[in-house]
Amino acid sequence: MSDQPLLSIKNLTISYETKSGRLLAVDRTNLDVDKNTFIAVVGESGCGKSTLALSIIGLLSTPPAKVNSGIMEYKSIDLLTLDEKQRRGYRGTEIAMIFQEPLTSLNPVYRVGDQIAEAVMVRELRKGTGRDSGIDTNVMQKTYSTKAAYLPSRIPKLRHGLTKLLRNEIIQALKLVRIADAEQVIDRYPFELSGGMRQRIMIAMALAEKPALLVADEPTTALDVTTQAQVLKLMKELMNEVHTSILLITHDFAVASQVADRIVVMYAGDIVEDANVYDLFSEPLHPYSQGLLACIPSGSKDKGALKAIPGTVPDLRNPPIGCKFASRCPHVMKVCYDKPPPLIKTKSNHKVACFLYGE
Amino acid sequence: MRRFFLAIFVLLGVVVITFILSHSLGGDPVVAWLGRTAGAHPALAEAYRIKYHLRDPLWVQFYYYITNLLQGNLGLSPSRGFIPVSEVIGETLPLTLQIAFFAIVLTLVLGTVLGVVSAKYHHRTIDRSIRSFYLAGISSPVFFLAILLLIVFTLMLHLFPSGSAADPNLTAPTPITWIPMLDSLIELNFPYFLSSVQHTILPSLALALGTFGVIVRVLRSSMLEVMHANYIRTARAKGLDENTVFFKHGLRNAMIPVVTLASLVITWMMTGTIFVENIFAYPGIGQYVFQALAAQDYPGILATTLVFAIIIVSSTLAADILYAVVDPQIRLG
Amino acid sequence: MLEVSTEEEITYLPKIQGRFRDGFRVIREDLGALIGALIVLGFVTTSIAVYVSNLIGVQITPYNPLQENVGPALAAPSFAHLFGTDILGRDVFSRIVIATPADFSVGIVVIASSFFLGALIGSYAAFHGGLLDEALMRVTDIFFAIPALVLAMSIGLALGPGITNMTVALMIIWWPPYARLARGEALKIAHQNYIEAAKLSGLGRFMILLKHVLPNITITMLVYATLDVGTVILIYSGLSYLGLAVRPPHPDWGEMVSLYQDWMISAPWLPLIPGFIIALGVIGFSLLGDGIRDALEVY
Repeated sequence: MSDQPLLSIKNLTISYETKSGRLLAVDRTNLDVDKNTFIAVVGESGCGKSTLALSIIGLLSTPPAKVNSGIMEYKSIDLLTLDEKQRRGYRGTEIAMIFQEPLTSLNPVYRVGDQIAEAVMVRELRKGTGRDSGIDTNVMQKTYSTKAAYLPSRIPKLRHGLTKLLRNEIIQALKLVRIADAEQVIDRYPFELSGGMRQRIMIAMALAEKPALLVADEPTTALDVTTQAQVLKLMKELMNEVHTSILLITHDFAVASQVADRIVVMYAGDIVEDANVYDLFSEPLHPYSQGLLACIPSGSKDKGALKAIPGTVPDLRNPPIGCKFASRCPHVMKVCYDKPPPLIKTKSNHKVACFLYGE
Repeated sequence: MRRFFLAIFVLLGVVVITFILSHSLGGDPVVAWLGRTAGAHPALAEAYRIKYHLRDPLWVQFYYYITNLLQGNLGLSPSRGFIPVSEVIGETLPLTLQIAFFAIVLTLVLGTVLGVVSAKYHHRTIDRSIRSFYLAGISSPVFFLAILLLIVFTLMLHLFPSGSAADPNLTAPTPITWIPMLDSLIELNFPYFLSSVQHTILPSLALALGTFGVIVRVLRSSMLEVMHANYIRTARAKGLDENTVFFKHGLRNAMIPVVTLASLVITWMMTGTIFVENIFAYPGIGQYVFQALAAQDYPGILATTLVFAIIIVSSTLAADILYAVVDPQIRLG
Repeated sequence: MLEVSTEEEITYLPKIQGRFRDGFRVIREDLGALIGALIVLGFVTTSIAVYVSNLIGVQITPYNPLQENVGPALAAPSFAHLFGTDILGRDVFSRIVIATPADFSVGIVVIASSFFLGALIGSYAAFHGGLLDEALMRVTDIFFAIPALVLAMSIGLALGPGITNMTVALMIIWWPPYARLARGEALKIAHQNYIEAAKLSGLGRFMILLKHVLPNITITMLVYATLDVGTVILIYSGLSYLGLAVRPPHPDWGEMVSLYQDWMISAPWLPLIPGFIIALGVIGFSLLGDGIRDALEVY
């Protein structure tokens, strides 16, 4: 197991051009994702975590959004220097992504089996170039789209021929995500299935391409609590089975704590703390993380009022010069207003961006 | 199934309405049929009236009206020398269907291609030019477009002929499907086939230019909406190339609202033939309506109204079925 | 306008007012809507001018539209005769101008009546529900099955030709889409909270309709109506072409096309000009309608 992280993000800055000005969404962020880890990026709405996720897979809508600076090193290649065609080569088979609302994220007019088949076909057609190179797959893509993609697999004869090869593959994929009656589900349309089922299918579809990294943007937010737990458990188990790293984006600390190995806390476009899950919960260093953890209701009927962090998130169109949390921080010092705190390492693998712990 | 019974119900309603109309049209039908003889021979006129149940109570007349209808007896047509209306319709309708077929194909092709192009390059120059183009098309009365085409292509450029459905000097095909263009193709009678195509193109184009705009408009906005959907993002995340995303995922979904336009398009086409066939002197059912109107041929007008209604209702039914085929949520949900 | 109680004023009236303000701004900015507004304005002014001139007996056209031989027959367009002359030597431009009020007034009248009739029937059926609602749906289905032109034609035959008769015929057949639209919109808001509140406060059904339902469904229907004016004009011009509208020698655009058709070889501009004017009018309303729709942001 090499020490080289799978994905290494350095100094990433992303902004949005809006009618009312330029909005700083991600500010000089540094993040490393290792192989076979489960990392959770936690933060409130608008802190930039979704933007970060979309930039990893390269699906930011670049008219309003713009990557201002940074390096995103994946398997020795800086993804940010690639053009769209090259970038596309990494989508799916190297870095995959699943989204928040499984109903609208699946195409309503195609059967679930066909949609997974499409993913498998992408993988198969790219195989020739090998998993580690995977850079220019133009030729592969062309063959794929003219050949297999358009065949309506509902036509019995063709279906028998084409998807028979894939059918087993798809059933295996469905079984991987613990769907019992895979044979039935394969012919269903997304709207015929439950929310939890749909999210499993999204996971199956993503993993069918055997990516090295799976980015999950709030995958369980739209699900009820029980299903949420099931899906999270599934993701954790799968990570070990298929050796895919998972980057989970969530606003829910509890969710993150259940499954993640590492937790990264984001606030207003900055990463404020990056630690092992046990370390973070036993000893949160950043005042924001401390505040967040204190906010989690304990579940017992004690007489205390619910705690909240006073103040509001700063306006990202006009971000403060110093630490963005300064106006709400109970331990704020003068230096916090003057310059932004860098992300420093305190103990082994515990990083924090706060002047309380040095410069 | 429910749709089918609904369609039958609607047709019944149309039958009733045409019956009511036939009896509120001013004038004595017998006078229309017999012309001047009615005045000169009142006894004969009265005999006709009794024979055609015109003196009987309204519901008796309705009964005879329905039974006649079911037997295919639509009366005699004064504007065509008193031959049975059903015969006239039998001769003219297939020719109009030839035009309708080409017109629909042209409309679909123009509408889809231009709709997709204007969606893909939305707000750029090509989008705006397409918009100006189709706006001019759907805003122009169909007779204006027909005359324009006639002047430019027939009179000035001599590219396409007008008058009749095919060169009358050529041997006509034997009636197999009763549609001359199709029959000539089956029999490999190519001179006739080509001639009939030549005669059909301009009228079809006139109709198509007037209707393709609605398809472009709907398809464009539908595509723009669809391309922002979540499943498009997923498709891209899977690593699919933009063409596959755009057509296989995007267009396939965007097409669904276009199907609902089917009955509107058919309606415009059918009414359009009334003008277009007259201008191109094409002997279809549209021209029959036009002539019947001028000659106050009431049996003709009413029968054609009924035929139009039947065609529209059937196409609406077909469109509903097509809609269920295209959208699985309607089919199964 | 309709009177609304003070609580609701805060919630939706300002929205409507604000939207109209936005509307004017959009018309100024959006080129298409501006052109449309100009065209419509041009036609409307001409219509009013012609109408008034008819009333007070003044001739505002360069030549008397009905007078023959004011120039050589079938003359091409020139400075003397902007649109040329027809076979009887009448000035085509004057004839076009004098025919302007017909198409436009028919359009406005038919749309207005269909709008109100459809709004009332549709929203009442939506609220009443049950048999009345079903009956309305079936009736509109039947109307949809027969093409507007053919139906208007048949009714027109029964009534006899003439502009007023055609207008009446169109008014009879034009309301179903509005009723359906009104019904759809009314159903959407039927379960909204403020309707429940109004019912609880004891307001009678009809009053609920008037005060709460109608103002809200108006906007969607208004957008449809502005785009529909063009369609009425097209259908009416079709009827006019078929000879059902005016009696010669009084001119009407559609009728002029049909009349001048026979001379398309020697004087091709003759049948094309009235047709073009019709198209221009319809384009004007379409552009204006699109602009209004964009301004009100209703799709």
